[in-house]
Amino acid sequence: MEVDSIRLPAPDERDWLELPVDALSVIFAKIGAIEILMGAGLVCHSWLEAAKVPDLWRSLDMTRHKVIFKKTIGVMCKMARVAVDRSAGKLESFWAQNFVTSDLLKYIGERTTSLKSIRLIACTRVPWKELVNLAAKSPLLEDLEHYYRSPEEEFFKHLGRKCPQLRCLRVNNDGFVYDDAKYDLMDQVIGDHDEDDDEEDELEYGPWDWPSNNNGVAFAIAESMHELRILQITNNTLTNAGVLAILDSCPHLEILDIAGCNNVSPNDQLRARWASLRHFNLSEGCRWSNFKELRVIDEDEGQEFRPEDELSDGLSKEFCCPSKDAEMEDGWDDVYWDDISLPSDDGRDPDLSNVDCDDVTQYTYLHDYYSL
Amino acid sequence: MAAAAAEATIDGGGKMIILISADGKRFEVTEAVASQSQLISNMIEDDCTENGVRLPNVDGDILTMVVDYCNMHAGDAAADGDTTKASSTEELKKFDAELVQALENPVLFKLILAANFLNIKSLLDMTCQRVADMMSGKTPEQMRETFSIENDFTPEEEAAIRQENAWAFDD
Repeated sequence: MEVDSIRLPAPDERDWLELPVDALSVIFAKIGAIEILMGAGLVCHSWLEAAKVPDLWRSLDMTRHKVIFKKTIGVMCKMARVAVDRSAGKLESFWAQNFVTSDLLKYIGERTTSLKSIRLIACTRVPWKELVNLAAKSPLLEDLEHYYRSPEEEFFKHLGRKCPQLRCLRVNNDGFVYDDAKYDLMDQVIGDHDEDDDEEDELEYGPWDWPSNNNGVAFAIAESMHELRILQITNNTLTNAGVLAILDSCPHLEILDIAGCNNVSPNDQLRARWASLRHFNLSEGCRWSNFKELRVIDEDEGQEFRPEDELSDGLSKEFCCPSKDAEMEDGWDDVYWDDISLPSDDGRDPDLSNVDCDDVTQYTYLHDYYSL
Repeated sequence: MAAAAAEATIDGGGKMIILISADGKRFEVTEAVASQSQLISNMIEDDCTENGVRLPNVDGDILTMVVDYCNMHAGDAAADGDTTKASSTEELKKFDAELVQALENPVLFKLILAANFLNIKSLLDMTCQRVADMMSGKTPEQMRETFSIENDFTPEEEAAIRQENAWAFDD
C-alpha cells in the first residue's frame, strides 16, 4: 500500500454534514432509537439516510427515556413500527417500557424471525398469549423478560413448550399472585423427582403451611426449560420443592434469583444444591441491586424528576428494606417482616454498589442469617 | 514487577514510527503506541512505515491530541498483571474525561474524523459519545443550530417528514 495514496476529502471544519457514515452510525447507535426517531434522524438528507441503515436497528431499546412518559401508547407503538420496518427483518432485540400492544407484537412477529432478546417492562397491556406467540416465532430467542406481569402458570407452560431453548428468563412482579391449583402437573413432576427425599419435611419446614399448588410456576419451568442459565422469578409462591425441581431440571443454571419468594425456607439440602450456582438470591432488597444480569428496569426509570417522586422514593425504600416500625399492610404481620428483614436492618439499604454477580457475599450473608 | 512491565513495553514497541501531519509536523512514537490505530497497525504488518506515515487529512494540532491519547493508553494495553494498574486506570479515566469535556466544535469534529480515519476504536467511541450527549433531547431544529447544519430538505420533503414523524413535532 502506498502511504501517500491514503487521502480522504478534507471537509470544512464546521461541516458536520460531512461526517463519515461510519462515525455517524457509531453516534446514532449511542443515542438510541428514540432519539434518532425524535430528532437526529430528521436533521438533513445525509443524517436521514444514515438513520435508515438496517444494521442500526438490530437492537431496539425503547426503555428508560423521558419521551416514553410523555407520548401516548399509540404514538410509542407507531415509533416502534417505524423502527421495526427499518430493521428490515434483522431485529434481534426488542426492549420496551410502559407501552406495547398485542397489535405491535403481532406486527413484529410478522416481520422478523431473528429475535434473540425480548424485554417488556411494565407493558401491562400485553396478554401473555401474544408474548408467547411472538416467542414461538423466534427460534433464536434466548432472553425473555416480562416485568410487572403476574406470573401465571399457563404462561410458563406454553412458553416452555414453544421456547425450550431459552437461556435467560426473568418474570417479575411486585407482589403475590396465587395460582390456580394444578395438582396433576405437580404430582407428575414430584413423581419425577422422588429421589429427592424429604419433600414433605420441607413443606413443614416453612413458616406457614402452604398448599402445595404454590409450585405451579416452578414445575412448569422445570418441565420444559432445561437450557436456562439465568432465572429470575421474584415474589413467587414457590416452596423448597419448587426450587429443587428447578435445580434438578436446569443443569446449566448459573444464576437463580427468587427474591421475595418467602415460602422458600433455606435448609441444608437446599444450601447444598444452590452452592454450585454462580449466584443465588433470596433477598428482598436485591431487586434494586446492581447485579448486572439481574438488574430490573424500574417502571418509572427514565422519567424526568417530579416533586412527587420524593414520596414514591421513600415508599420504595421502605419496601426494599422494611423496618420493624413500618406500617403493616392488612394481613401481613410482624413475623413476616422479621423473616425477610436483613440482619443488620438499621433502616438503610445495604451497600450493593460494588457487588457483582460473581460476588458470593450476598448469599453468604443471607445464608448466615438463616442459619442462626 | 513494574520494571519488568516497562521493559516489556520497550521490547514490544521498540521500533519507532514517524507520523507526519498534513502541515508537516513529525511525531515519533513507538510501535506499541502507533498500533492502537488499526490503520497504522495494518501498515506496520505490511512493512510500509519505513519512510514515515503521512496523514494528509490530519492537522498537526489534532495529531498532537491523538498522539497524546495513544501515549496515555499504550501503557493500558501493556500493563497486564501490573500492580500499579488500578491507579493508572484512575489516571486514564481522568485524562479521558478532561480531554473529552474540553472538546468543542470544530476540534471535536476533526478529532472524530481523525479517529475514524486512523481507526482508533476507543477514541472514536469516546468522541462519538460526546456528540451523542450533545444531541440528547434536542429537536431537529435545535440540532441544526448546535452543529451548524443547513436544513437541506425541500418544503415538500419537510412537510412529508413532519407528517410521517409527527411525534417529533407535536410539542
